[in-house]
Amino acid sequence: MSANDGSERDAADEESHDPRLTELVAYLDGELEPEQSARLERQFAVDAPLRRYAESLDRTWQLLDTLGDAPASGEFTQRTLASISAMAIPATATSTSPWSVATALRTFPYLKVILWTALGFIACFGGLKFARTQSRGTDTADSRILRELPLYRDLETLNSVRSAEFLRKVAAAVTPDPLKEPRK
Amino acid sequence: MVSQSLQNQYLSDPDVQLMLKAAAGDQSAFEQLVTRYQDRLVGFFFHLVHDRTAAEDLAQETFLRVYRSRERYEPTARFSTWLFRIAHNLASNQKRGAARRREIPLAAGSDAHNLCPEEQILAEKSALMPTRQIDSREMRDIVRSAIEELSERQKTVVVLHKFEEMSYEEIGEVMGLGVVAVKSLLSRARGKLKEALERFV
Repeated sequence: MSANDGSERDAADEESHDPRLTELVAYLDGELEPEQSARLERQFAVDAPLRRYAESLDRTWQLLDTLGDAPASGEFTQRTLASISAMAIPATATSTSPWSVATALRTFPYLKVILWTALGFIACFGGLKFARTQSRGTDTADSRILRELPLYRDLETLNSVRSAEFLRKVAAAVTPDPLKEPRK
Repeated sequence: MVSQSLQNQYLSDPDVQLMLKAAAGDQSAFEQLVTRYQDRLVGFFFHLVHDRTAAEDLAQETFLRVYRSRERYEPTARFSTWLFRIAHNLASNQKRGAARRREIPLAAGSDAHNLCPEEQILAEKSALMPTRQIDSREMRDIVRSAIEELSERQKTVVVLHKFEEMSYEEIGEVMGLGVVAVKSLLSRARGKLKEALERFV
């Protein structure tokens, strides 16, 4: 965060322009050089208000201890690790995908030959199967036409008949059991 | 030569080693880092936002960011410094986002520890009666209110120094500031805290 990111109050008020205060705080934080600390301690010995000011700074700083710690809740670890696992799964999936195709082919040079041979077999088998199905379909159509040939031959006569009931009567008159041999 | 010795210094940090293992795909190393730092991170955010749920969400997001960037990780600082830099950036972005959306500011949390109107009055009364014995909860609320009065950067400096026990230099690394700026921010913050709290000591 840069200095410009704060509010107007921040920009105007957040940094100390009091070198004495800065030095006292650095002393209390143990951030002064030993010589500077020694000089300041000599001043404390003769300057009671300065010493009291430093003591007050220190005591108010200690008051922050009342805020205590704020540890993570019991579920935090599990929840966080679950989120990370959820994030890791798609990453793993995408990383394994290129391996299975490109890396496998690089790793096993004969795999390409085997794959092409298998593809050839599959194509031949598929082609044969398709051809056989086509020819069987033609046979079935031809045999049905042959079976129904007498019907086609008499189609003109049959079309002149008024109803199927009439035909049944004719058939009954010709043969004793028309249901057994309806086409004869 | 100097940078090489610094690099070696960071490599001796066991958490840097764990992070390097995590970067190489060791999931258990990353889990160890989460376990080691979760309390510190949640504490850091909690002292900034005063809301446990928000603090845990921010801490979790920090770990997720670390995980996402693990493959680009380079040990150019102590692991804790690097981690808190990410946390600090996240907190700053959160604050900026909240300000843009005119939502509740980062520092105004909503947990049970926030001062309700009655407590506010009590705290104000306490301020008028410095000799009255105040309990630890009241004291905590008073201290929290005093921290709330600090700017965001002052607050961050205070939390990193007081609760994370970071040196001025480390704070500077985390916040991207020089040591002089950190000193200046911290001394101003402590001056303000003294003004707000000295009647309670």
